[in-house]
Formats: sequence, structure tokens, C-alpha cells
Amino acid sequence: MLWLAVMFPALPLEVFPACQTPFGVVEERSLLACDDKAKTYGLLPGMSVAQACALCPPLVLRTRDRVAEEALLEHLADFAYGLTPRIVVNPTGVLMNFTDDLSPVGDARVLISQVAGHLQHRGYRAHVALAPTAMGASIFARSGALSLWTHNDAWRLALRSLPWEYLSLPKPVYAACADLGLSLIGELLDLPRAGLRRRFGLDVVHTLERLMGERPEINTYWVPPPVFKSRIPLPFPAGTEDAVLYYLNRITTILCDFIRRRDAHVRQFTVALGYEDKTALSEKFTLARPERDAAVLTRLVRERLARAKTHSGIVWISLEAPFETNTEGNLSFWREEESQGQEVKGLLDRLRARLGNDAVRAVSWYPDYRPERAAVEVLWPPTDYLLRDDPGRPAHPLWLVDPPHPLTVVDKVPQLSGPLQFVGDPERLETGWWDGAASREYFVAVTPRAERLWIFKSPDGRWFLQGYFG
Amino acid sequence: MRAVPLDLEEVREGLGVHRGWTRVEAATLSTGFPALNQYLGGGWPDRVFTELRLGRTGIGEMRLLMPALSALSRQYYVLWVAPPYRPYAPALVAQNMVLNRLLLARPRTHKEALWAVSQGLLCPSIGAVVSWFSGIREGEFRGLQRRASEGSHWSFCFLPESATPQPSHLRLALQSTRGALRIRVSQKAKRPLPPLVVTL
Repeated sequence: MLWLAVMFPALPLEVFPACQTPFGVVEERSLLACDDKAKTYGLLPGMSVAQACALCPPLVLRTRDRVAEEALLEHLADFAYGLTPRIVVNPTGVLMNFTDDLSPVGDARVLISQVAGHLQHRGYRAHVALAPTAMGASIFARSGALSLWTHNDAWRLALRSLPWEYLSLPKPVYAACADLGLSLIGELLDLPRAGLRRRFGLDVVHTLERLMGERPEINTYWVPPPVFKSRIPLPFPAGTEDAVLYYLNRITTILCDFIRRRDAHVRQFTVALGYEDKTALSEKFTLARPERDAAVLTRLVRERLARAKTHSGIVWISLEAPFETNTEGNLSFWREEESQGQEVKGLLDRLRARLGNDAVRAVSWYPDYRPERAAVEVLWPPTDYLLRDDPGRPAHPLWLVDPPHPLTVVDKVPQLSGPLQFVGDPERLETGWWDGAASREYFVAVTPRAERLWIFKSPDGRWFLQGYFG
Repeated sequence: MRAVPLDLEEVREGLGVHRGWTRVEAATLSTGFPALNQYLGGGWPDRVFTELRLGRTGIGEMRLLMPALSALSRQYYVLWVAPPYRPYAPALVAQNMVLNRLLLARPRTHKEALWAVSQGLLCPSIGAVVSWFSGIREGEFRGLQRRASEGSHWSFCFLPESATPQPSHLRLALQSTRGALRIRVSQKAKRPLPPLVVTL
């Protein structure tokens, strides 16, 4: 095992934009870090704010931005994930775990130049070190010298010659070490372990043993967040659909490349468009089937955007998508039934994108005698409340009129384009005393034009049209 | 070993040769009514945007279509675009329709309805597309007809009797009589047939 440590010596400073005047970052009323210009005034980390301001009047101070620091580390971890899946993120840097032969990169110098190149491109200052233990690597990195140590080298010897302040030890131990007159890690290591244990506790001994690789290290590995976020600022305010589509296509392609690398799918995503007049339009898309095809996603967004009228130029596009790991393979050859379902889901997505979510429906059957409750149009996919062995009701009509349409009555005979003629026996319905009681007498009736209707009489003698035998 | 010159045609005629699937040129789907099957040459033809004209709802137009749709729903999905009322599930099941294979689209505008029909005609898992229009222009009808001829779907389009005439390849004008349905079938490039009375 080899560990590559990337440590940011000035992380709290670097998350802020560069500043002409002396600059410092404050946490809990004391100076956490300051830049070189401020140091020429004699400022040191740990000073109080009042002291620092007195020493250096032009000093610009900011409170520490932990969110930005974490975002930077996350970004680096995301980059490192392309090199190795075993990554540890700690507050000052990122550690990457490699096998002894540094596979798949193979060469330490190539690896370091890749990492350094990425950091330089981004404009961050970082120290990089390679060592056989995680703690060792981070100490070498903290010391600032570019060091590459493998198992064959005298890395233990080099480590011994570094000051012990680089070790992260509890505060009382720090003070005690200073009192003992120690200056190097090697001196601390040379002390008898039993005595160290009695004096400082077992944890300190274990820390030292882990540092030297005598005891396995326990690390929590970083897991990439299952969400994709990207925002593209447009170089000019885009008004035409073509221009917007070009950038839309680009952002969905980035998304799809990203999820393909993770072997994942998206099931929902949100596209936001920012307009020149500082307003934003955000549209959420839910897919019926997991997707990783950029063309499909672009088409969906396009259908939806065709309806949204652009009132001013678009200046940025952003896309956010939580993704899920791939669990279904491409087995259409074996599972024809499933692939058919996938095709329909694609159709559903297109219909929903253009017609709206509530425009695509299924018919569901609930076990209720009241027709208007028995058959309901629900959003796709249908919840299967259907009683499987229920044979259906052949005497009932195919079209349901809901709410029932009141009929006029002439000489006690209900009318619809003429007097109605009754066919067959009535059907009595008496139910729902618990929620909206219904007491109706159903008849099948025929109009003079030979349309078959389903009508009912309410207890107060009024007639209603409930359905058509289509 | 000696190479034997073979006649390719002879080999192709031989028995032990896999020929793959042969695509049936025009499939028909039984309507469920023998007399109508005979009229239509076997049943509802696929790849034809069938026009159904009816004066009023409730004369049995769906009972005419349901046997075919129910048979299709066992294997495919069925898309209904803009049906006039809410379909009543118990009656659909009584007609042997598989309920969770029925998709309803309720577009807000005429243009959206046309688009939904054309999308349904593009999807290979959809067996039949049934649409209801209160009126349609000739160009729009031709567009859907072209789409229907490209896929392998059954498609039906209900139009009111008063709508403008359409250049359809197969038109059925439905009229109600007592307990039965009188159907006038007109097919493109075929001699007109006398009206057919189907008892539902």
C-alpha cells in the first residue's frame, strides 16, 4: 500500500479571491492564517484580531469559509476518484491509496505530475507526498518538501528527522513534549513505549505505531455523492432556440459522460435557465425509465421548453441530477417483455414532457359499487387495486359520465333527444353510508336515435345520465 | 475432398436451410364479427389510419372495436388519445381488456393531440392508437396516415359525421339501428359495398 497525500498549506486563504492588500482569515476571534504580505507586518497565526489590526492597519479580514473549503476538497476528491477508488478526505487535504506498484498509473512521477498539473490548472498551491502510510504521507506533505518514498526507501529514517509538531497529537501531549525538550519525531519514537503509554495514554502509542506502519491504519473512505451538478454560463445572452439547444445538448452530454463513468442512470433531473433580467426558470423532469442517453434527455427538455416562451435572453443553464447505480443490464434479448415496457416508458416520458404530467393516465378499478369511485383515471403507472378474479360487469357501459348529467322529465319519462325507453330490469345501488351515501336505481335506456344510455333515478325522483354504452 | 459446384437456387429451395422470420406484408386483426371480417378482407388492416364516422356517442362504436383492442392488449399497449368520456374499468374488464395495458392521453389542444397520436404510432410496443377528434384538416390527416403506414400499428380515428371528408384508405360510417349497427364501408380503390348490419 502506498499513500499519496495532497495537502493545502493555505486552504483557508485560497478559497477567497486574490487580494492586493494584506489579507487574513479569522476563526473564533483569532487569526487563523494570513498571506505573505501580512506576514511582513509581523503577523502570526494565532494572534487576536485586535492585535493583528493594530500591527497591520491595511489588513483585510474574512471569516473562515468552511463550506468553500469542503467544496474544494470534494472537487479534488472527485478528480482523485479517477485515479483510485480509495480516497480519504481530511480537513486539510486529500489522501489517495494505491497499490505498491501504483496501478493503474504505474509510475510515481507520472502520477504526481498528473495531480500537480490538475492543481496548477485550477490555481491552487498544494504539497504532494508519497509514503507507505497515510499518516506518514500527510506529515511529509505538511513538511512542504516534495517527497516520494516507497517501501524500498529509508522513509522511516526521513520521517524521524521531521519535527514532531507535524503529528496531530492532543494538546496536553504537545505541551508535555515541549517540556521534555524534544524536537524531532525520532526522539519521541526512541522513548520507551511502556513509559509513553503510562505518561500519555495508549492512543499516542498507537498513533506512533500507525505512523511507522507497525499497526494497521483505520480510514473512512470517501464515497462520491450520488448527484451531478453543473452550470454553464453562456458567452452571450441566447435568445434563439438553436443557441439554447446547443448549450443544453452540451450540458446533457457532460451529465451522460459523467454517469456513464459511474455506471449509473438518472431517473430525475432539474434543468434551470437563468434569464438576462435575473429571473430563472426551473423545470423538474421525472423519467419513467432510467436513462443515460444525452439525445433522449435533450429531446425531453426541448419538448418542455417549446412551451415556455422566452421573454429575454438566457445567460446560464444549470442541470442537477441525482443518479442511481445501474442495476438493470441490457438483457432485451432474453427479457422481451421488459424491453417492451422500457419502450413504453420512453413514450410516456415524451408524452409527459410535452403534454404535462397529469395528461398521461391509466384507468384503475377500485372495489367500490359507486361507478364514479370504481373507475378512476389515475396518473401512470396504475396502482393495481384490481381484483384479479372479478369478471367485470358486462351490463355496465364503457363510457362513464362523471359528474352525472341531470335529465329533463316529461310526464314522468326522462328525456334525452326524445323520451327514453327502458330496457331490462333496474339495478339497485345502496351504499356508501360511511362516505357520501348513494341510493340509486339504475336503468338501461334507449333514445329514439338508438343510443344506449345508463341512467339512474335518485330517491328524490330526479333522473341522471351516468354513462354511454359506447 | 472435392468441391461440388452447387446451384444456389437449389440450396435455397432445400429443406435444411434456416430462412429466418418472413415479415407478413399486411397483417389483419380479427374484428370479432365474422360478417365484418369478410367485408374487410380478414379483419382490421394494420398500417392503415382507419377513419370511423359516427353521428352520436353510445351507438355501439366501442363495442365494435373492443374485441380487437382486447386481443391486442394481451400482447401490446393500447393508447387512447382524447377519449370523450372516462372509460369505465369494470366494463373494459368485462370485454377482456387488460387494464394496465391501456394508456390514456388527455392533450389540451388539437395540436398536442395530433402530436400524441404520431408519437404513439412511432412506439413499437404500442399495438393500437385510438383517437377522437372533433375535426381534422386534410393535411393533418394525411400526416398521420403517413405515420401509420410507416409503422406496424393498428390505428383508429373517430370523427363526427359532420367533419370534412378525409382522404382515408378505409372509412367506416356507423349508424345506429334498433339493437344493431349499420356500417357503410368505403375502401380506397375498391368498389363500394352495400351497407352491412352488425348485431352487437
